[in-house]
Formats: sequence, structure tokens, C-alpha cells
Amino acid sequence: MNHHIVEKPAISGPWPRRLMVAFAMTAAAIGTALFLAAPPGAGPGAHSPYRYRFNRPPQGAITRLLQSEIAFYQRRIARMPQSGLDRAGLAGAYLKMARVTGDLRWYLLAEDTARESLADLPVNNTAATMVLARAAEARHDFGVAIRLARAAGPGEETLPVVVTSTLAQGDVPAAARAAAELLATAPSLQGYALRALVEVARGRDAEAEADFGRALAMEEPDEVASSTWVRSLYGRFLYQHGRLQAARELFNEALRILPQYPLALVDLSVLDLRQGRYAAAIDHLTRVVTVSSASPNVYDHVVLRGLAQASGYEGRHDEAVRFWAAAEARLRQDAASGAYGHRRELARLLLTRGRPEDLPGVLSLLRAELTVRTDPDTYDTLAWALSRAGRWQEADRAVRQALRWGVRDPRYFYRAATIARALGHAERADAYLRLMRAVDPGFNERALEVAGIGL
Amino acid sequence: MARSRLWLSALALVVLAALLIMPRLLVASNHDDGEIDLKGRALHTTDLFVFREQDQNPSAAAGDLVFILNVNPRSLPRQEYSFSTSAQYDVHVTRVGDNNATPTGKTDAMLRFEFGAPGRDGSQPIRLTAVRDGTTSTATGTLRTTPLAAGPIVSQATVAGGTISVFAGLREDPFFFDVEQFFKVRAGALGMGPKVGFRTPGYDFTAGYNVLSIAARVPRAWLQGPTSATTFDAWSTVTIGGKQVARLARPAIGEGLLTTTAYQNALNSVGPDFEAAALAGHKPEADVAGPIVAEAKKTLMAFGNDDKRANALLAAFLPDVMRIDTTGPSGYAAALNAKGSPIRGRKISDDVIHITLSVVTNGAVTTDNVSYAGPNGGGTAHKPLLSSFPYLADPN
Repeated sequence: MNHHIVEKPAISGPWPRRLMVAFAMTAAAIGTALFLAAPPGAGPGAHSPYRYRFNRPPQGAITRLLQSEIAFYQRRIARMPQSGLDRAGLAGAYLKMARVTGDLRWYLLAEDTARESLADLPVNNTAATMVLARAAEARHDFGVAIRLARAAGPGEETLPVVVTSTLAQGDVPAAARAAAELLATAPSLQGYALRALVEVARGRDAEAEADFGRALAMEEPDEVASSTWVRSLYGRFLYQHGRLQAARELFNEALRILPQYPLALVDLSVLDLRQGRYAAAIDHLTRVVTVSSASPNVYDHVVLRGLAQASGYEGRHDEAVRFWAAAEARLRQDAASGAYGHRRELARLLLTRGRPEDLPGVLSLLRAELTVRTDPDTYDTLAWALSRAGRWQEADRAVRQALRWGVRDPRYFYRAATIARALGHAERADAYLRLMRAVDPGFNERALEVAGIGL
Repeated sequence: MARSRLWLSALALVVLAALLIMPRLLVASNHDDGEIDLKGRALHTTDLFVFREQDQNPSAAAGDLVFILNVNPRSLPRQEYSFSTSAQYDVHVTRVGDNNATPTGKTDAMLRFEFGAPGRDGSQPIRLTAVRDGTTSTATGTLRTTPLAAGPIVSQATVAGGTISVFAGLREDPFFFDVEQFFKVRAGALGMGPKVGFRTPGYDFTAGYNVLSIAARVPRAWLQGPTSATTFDAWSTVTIGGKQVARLARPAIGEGLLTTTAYQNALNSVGPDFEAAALAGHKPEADVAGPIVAEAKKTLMAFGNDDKRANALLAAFLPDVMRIDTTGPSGYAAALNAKGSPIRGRKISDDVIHITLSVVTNGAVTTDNVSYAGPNGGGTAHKPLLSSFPYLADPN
């Protein structure tokens, strides 16, 4: 794996290298001591605002409940095969199972069942329509997801899809409208969490954090998964702002509620890697999912890329190469399928590997991705690829697109600084670096490297 | 470290082997990796029942009314659900001097139910606040919901000037309706699908599900306060974060007559006082309600009513309240007032769909071929009601 990044500016300032090494070693020692004193699994204290205040479900309870739900609807359908509503319920249960497990086969079952449901009941069948919308969103078919959700009318089931899909399309104003509409329908954890994502997208970080706090205050005992979800999002927000300890507390709390929650496990592994806790990162990644041919999973490539990164940092380069290759193979299968897949993730992987011969393919992947997804991450990846190609003016336009709604993400500021410097705009580059440090004072090359693993 | 290296090497080999033999290619993303939507529907109301207790149970003491508010539709069997810990579940009551009077939506008395975090057994503490003629009192004593596995726990709550019996917990959903076929019938009538009728027997979609119920036995004398009113208008609301998100009185008004989700949402956010103002032509209420009423009227006319009858039906059912004249036996449409509005409350097993269909179709459709006792399509039936308060059948 070649980590040679020619176009990067100095992030850490003008400290002598030897001093930096010494500092890093001291910091590592202190970090190790803290690690041993406060195990990473420790969650927030009883009075922490991040603390989950309800009873946690027993291990495996969510999956068991979903299995019961599936069996319940199957029994009803056996009794009344032409019931579109029962079939919509079954499709919804399949979809939940898909999202809980990440197992792709559940998505297919959910979609097939939703279509059957709509054949039985083509009117007033919001539940089946929304299963199709969620599945479309999962395939990155955001236009279809939005169309289906809007056709089903405004509601607490439909508007969240509009928010997340319009955000993916980079249409922040539309996402803001949908989030406002959702909260006007009923204040809820989900509504505040989604509005927080919108606020993040337009750089209103204080408002975003306030909304995350409101979301936590609104959590309900029957919404365990939502409670873990919002903690993961909040933790990711804090991570991106350099508040790593608070982010860890939130991820740990999410995992205290649901120990197998993939989003929190992946985010925690990213944090582990940034902080040099490789064994912990590997442990968290391997708890996400067991990669296997029998049950292809949406998290496979994430686990593989994380393991590759961890192996590389630990000096096991052969293993790292094999994990990278496996991740690439998995992502290429997606990309070659003709359906919307993980093109951006594949592009990032290839950019990280840094082989010049991959560049045309990377740009082609990103051009295709931009037809469906024009969010900041996609533009940032494009800017990265164009930088590699030495097409600095185009890279500059791409990174400006990433920043156009005001998002304050250190990764984008770093990219913008890199490009500005290459274009000879030293002052502008420094300004971007100051912004980067203002958002995350500890942002460094390691943070940049591990950022690509996350979801 | 050696073990770790060995393990990683082995994992890499397994992964590579797995990918080489990957079966049918499946593509999805982790984009929707977060929210799993295992949430309940504790803010969604399903039914409001109001009846004289003696009409349900002849051996009960005279003078008590029972109010039941059901929420959380389609609760799955053998699964614990909780009331919202942030919401207020309110039952509002207006004293009515004349059975023919248009409802005002003025709250003379109100019972507010709020719920705390569930304990280990699944039960939640209940806070009952009673408001009567502007005076607020909070019930003394410990009130808790009934967990799924337990028999009904009925608590006595003392509020200013009276004792109220309270039950809250999961019960079998007592509603019965072939809602799926109704959607098709309505779509056919509105030209949105083929014209069809109800099937025989109908499929009772709610059979087998539970709901979260709040039941309160309230002395009529407490509702009367300083008056001698014998007729009351009741309606329920659910409010969270200062926002009213649900309102319910008579069955199948909003869902039956309105097809636009936004209109249903709009009606959920206001009270019957808003409808009263709109019907009286007051602005801005009349402007806001105009398109909503127009859609309801369109549905009524699609069911075969002429303009005059459609207007009369709207006047009979709006403002939407559950009126109960306590001087006669309870039962949905056991008696109507001069406008044709039902004025005898609603008992648990009343066939309200039968009645509503007969009215809104002007007798063209009289039943959905579903009954409480069944057997309905698929062989389903509801459990027998309990012989004492809260009367609702045990949960599935």
C-alpha cells in the first residue's frame, strides 16, 4: 500500500521532526496509561447527558423480536394470502432485519414482498411504498426514493427518507424543508437528529449540537435502535470536531445499549485507529459482521478496509495488502453490477492505494456517482482524484462544490488547503488550514487516512 | 501478538476464499445504516370509547362513565410496548346543555395522563392530572401501568372532589374493520381504482393485534361539577413537546373521509373549537379548513350522497366530538340528535363501521361483513370482553 501523498500541505506546523517524534511517543505513553486506566468500553457516567435512561434490551432481543414479527406476518398471510397490508407488514419486518443485520438478502426479500403487497393493495399502501423507498435509498437510487416518499404524502415515515436522500443529492435546502416539515408533524428523536444532519451540512454546528441534545431528550423506551443511531451520529459529529473523548463516550454508550450496533462499532474503530488502538479497532471491526460468501453484507467492505488499515499500521503489510485486495474485489463486484453501489468507496480505496494507472477509472467512477449523489463527500473525493491528476483548477471547483452549503469538515478544509497551495494561493491555503484547526485542533494525517473507512 | 498475526492471516485467507465463491451478486449500500425503525406508535390514537358503565356491566354502580383511549396500533402479540414518556395523553370533556347544540370544543374538564420510564417489569408510573373549570389537581397515590404478563391492575386515584379508577396497559385491539377492502371500495368510488364491494366474510385487519389502552372510570358528578349537565362532549388529544400530534373522537372521520395525509395531519393538530370556528365561517379557520372539508365532501358525494345530504352529514359529524347523553343507554347511534349526530357515546363492541357505512353511503352499503365475535375472514375473532373494568380483553 502506497501512502505517498504528494500534494498534501504540512498540517502540524513547523515543529522539528525529532521533537514531534518525542512528543508523539510521550502522547502515546500517556494515551496508553489512560487507555489502561479508563477502558475504552466504559460508557458515560450516570449523570452524563449521553446516558441512556431506559432499560437496555437483553442481548439478541432485537433480532428475536424481528424473527417473531416475521413469523407473525407469515402466519397471517398463510391465513389470508391476498392481504396487501399483512404483506406490507412482512416487507417492513424484512427491511428492519436487513438494516439490523446488514445482510443483503433481506433487502431483496423486502423489496419483492413490498411489490407483492402493492399488487394486492395498490392504494393507501404507504407501508409497502416506503419499503421500496428505503430499499431504493439503500441502493443509492435517491431520486426514486424521494419520488416514492413524496408520493406517499408527508408523514413521519416518509419525510425522513426525503431528508436523507436530498442530503445525499446535495440538495441541502430541500433537506432543510423536509426536516422542518417532519418536526412540524411531531417533535421526535428522529426529527431532531435529521435536522441536526441538515445543520451540519450547512455548517451550523452549534445548532446541530443543540438538535442532537434535543434528540436525546426525546428518546423513548420503545425506540432502542433510534437511541443507538442518534448516539452514533452525535458521536461522529463530535469526532469530526476533534472532541474525541466525548465521541468515544457516545459510541460506547450506543454499544452499551446494543453491543452489536454496526454504525457505532465502525465509528469506534475509526476512532481507535486514529488514536493508535489497533487491537481495539480490530476487535470492533470483527464484531460488525463475519465476512462470508454465504451472507454478503453491506458492511463487508467497511470491515475489510478497516482491517487493512489496522494491519498496515501494525506493520503487517502482507495482511494489509490482502485485506485491501479483498475489499477492492468486493467493491468492484458492486460497481460492475450496473446498479448503484459503492463507487465512491471504491474510488477512495484506489486513491488511497495511489497507483497512477487507476486514476482514469477513479474519475469514471466518480462521474457516474455524481449523476446520483452530489453531496460534499462525493465532491471531496472528486477533488482528491483531480488533485492526483494534477487538474488543480477542476479540483478547486470540486472542493468548492463540497463546501458550497457551508459544511465545516476538517477533511474538506484540508483538501481545499492542498489545492489552494498547489494553485499558488498560499494565503487562502493558510486560511483553510486555520479553519481546519478551528474545527478539529488535533486533525492530522492519521485522521485523514482513517476518515475513508467510515460509513 | 503472534496469535493476532496468525489470526489475521487466517482471516485474510477466509475472506479471499469467500469472495472468490461469492454467489449471486447483491448490491446495496450502508446509506440507511442507522435508523432501524423498531419504534412503536405510542403517539398514534386508534379509538375513543365513552359509555355509562352500567350499560357494559349491569352490576356496576350507577353514575359512573368509562372513558377509554387506545393508542399504539398494530402492537404485536406478546411484545411489551410503552407509552411515550414525553407525551401528554388528554381526554377533554365539555358540558353540553342541549343535545342539539353545535359542539364548542371548550374544555370544562380534562384528564391528563403522563408516563414515566418503564421499570424492570415493564410497568410505567402514571401521573394523572385532572383539570376542572380551570382548577388543576394531581392524583395522589401510586399509579402504574399493567405490564404485559400481569392481569389488569386498576388503581384508584383521588383528585379534587372525586375518585377516578385508572387502568393503563396493553389490551387486545377491540376494533374490527375490513380496512383493506374499504380502501379498495373508496378508491373505486373516487375513480382511483376498479369499483368493488366488500367481501364475505370480511377480513378483520385488527384481529390479533394489541393496543395500549388508557381507561378511566369517572363519576358523572365529578364531570358535572357545579352544574347539572347530563350530556357531555368528549375528545382526546396527544401532545408532545408542546405540539398536538393527534386528536380523536368519533371513529373513521378523518381516516374514512380524507385521503390526503397532510389534511389528516392538519386535523390532528387542532381541536374541535377550530372546526367550530371554521364551520361558523371565522377566518382564518374557514380558509384553512376549506380544502379539508371539500375533500371530505368529495368522498361523501363519491359514496352516492347529493350535495344537500353531504352538507348535512358534514354538519352532523363536525366538529368532531364523541357526544354522550347520559340519560339513556350508551351505544354508538343508539340515539341521534336533530342534526343526525350520534349522542350516546360508544361502547367497546359497537359495530361503528356498520353504522358509519350505512350513514355515509345513504344505505347503499350497510356492512363490511366483519363482526367483533367473528368468525371473520381467515377464521379470526376477538376475545370476549372482561366482565369488569377496564372491560377490554386481555392482550394477545
